[in-house]
Amino acid sequence: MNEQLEDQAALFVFGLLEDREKAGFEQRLEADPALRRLVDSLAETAARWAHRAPPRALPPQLRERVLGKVGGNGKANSPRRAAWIPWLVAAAFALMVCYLVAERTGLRHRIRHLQQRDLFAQIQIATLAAKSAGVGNANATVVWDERKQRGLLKATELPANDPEHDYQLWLFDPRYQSPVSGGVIHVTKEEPLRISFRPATPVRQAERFVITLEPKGGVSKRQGPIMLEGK
Amino acid sequence: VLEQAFLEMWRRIRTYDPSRNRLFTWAVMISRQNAIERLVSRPREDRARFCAPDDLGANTPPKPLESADKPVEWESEREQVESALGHLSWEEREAIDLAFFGGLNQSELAETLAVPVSNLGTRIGRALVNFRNLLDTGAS
Repeated sequence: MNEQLEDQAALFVFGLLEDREKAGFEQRLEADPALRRLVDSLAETAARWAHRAPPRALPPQLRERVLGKVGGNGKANSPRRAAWIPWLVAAAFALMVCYLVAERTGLRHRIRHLQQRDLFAQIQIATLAAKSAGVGNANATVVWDERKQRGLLKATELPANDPEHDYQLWLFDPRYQSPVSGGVIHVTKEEPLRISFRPATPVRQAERFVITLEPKGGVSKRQGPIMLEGK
Repeated sequence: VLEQAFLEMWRRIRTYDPSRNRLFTWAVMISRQNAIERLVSRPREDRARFCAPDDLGANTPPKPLESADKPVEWESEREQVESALGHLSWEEREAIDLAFFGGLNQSELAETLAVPVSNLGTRIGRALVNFRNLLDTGAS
């Protein structure tokens, strides 16, 4: 199978083929069992990407609404006696609604950024100043390499953590609703700190960096007070 | 959107072919398509900012599933996916994240990923095949 067909298959699975292209591809699918097997295999793989989203409980009235529209308990009018989707499995689908949103403004910002970027623009350096009396004269410097998706944090005079708390670094990417965690920082004694970090979520242009104080072990969503902040 | 997706699954259940895909796959793709169609029908100013998968947290309803409610196979598959994700490059993760969740058309996605439209299929395809191979390796 040629590479062009394979590439088209991947786009087809995500619904990314333009109308005319899609019509032509679907014609080929009808006639080519090997291509059909490839598409099915890629679709299986693509669907598993849904597991990126943590499962959530279904809205409580949803089941009744759906069953009411399909007719009673859904058995009498069943077009065929097929296995119905377990309701709990459908919890993951609820996340699609949340995830399948995209802000045009954010995308255009991203496009402008891409068009203007050069090698030097991919490196960001930010100085973080103390924002809380709790960290005294602490300060930090972050060097963020967008291309490598890695960063370096250097901090001085950062007080040691108590047993119940850790510091956590956050990167603010305008594409996302919430800041991305750069990792948990546990300080045992006040001394110069130098650590590398790599966020789990891709970060393009980080507009702001903050270090917060969070419960020990860190959190998935920023909640603690800001200790240091910089752009 | 979810209600709409379930109703569509009900109407189209005769088209489901278990020899081609799992029911999960068929249902996910229908749900995703419904969500995208709803998304692109909204005025631009009503669209919220893209919510990356790792970003989902306490501010987003509904509530998380209790551990007891999660099917065992579900957790096992999630673990396989998480393991495979760890071996993808960030470019590959970004490509599939945006292709799957972004609700973008071909030219928008190509612009966002900074690739020519003619290379988009290669970028997405290679990432998806690599992800598939990692899943297969993990499963074996």
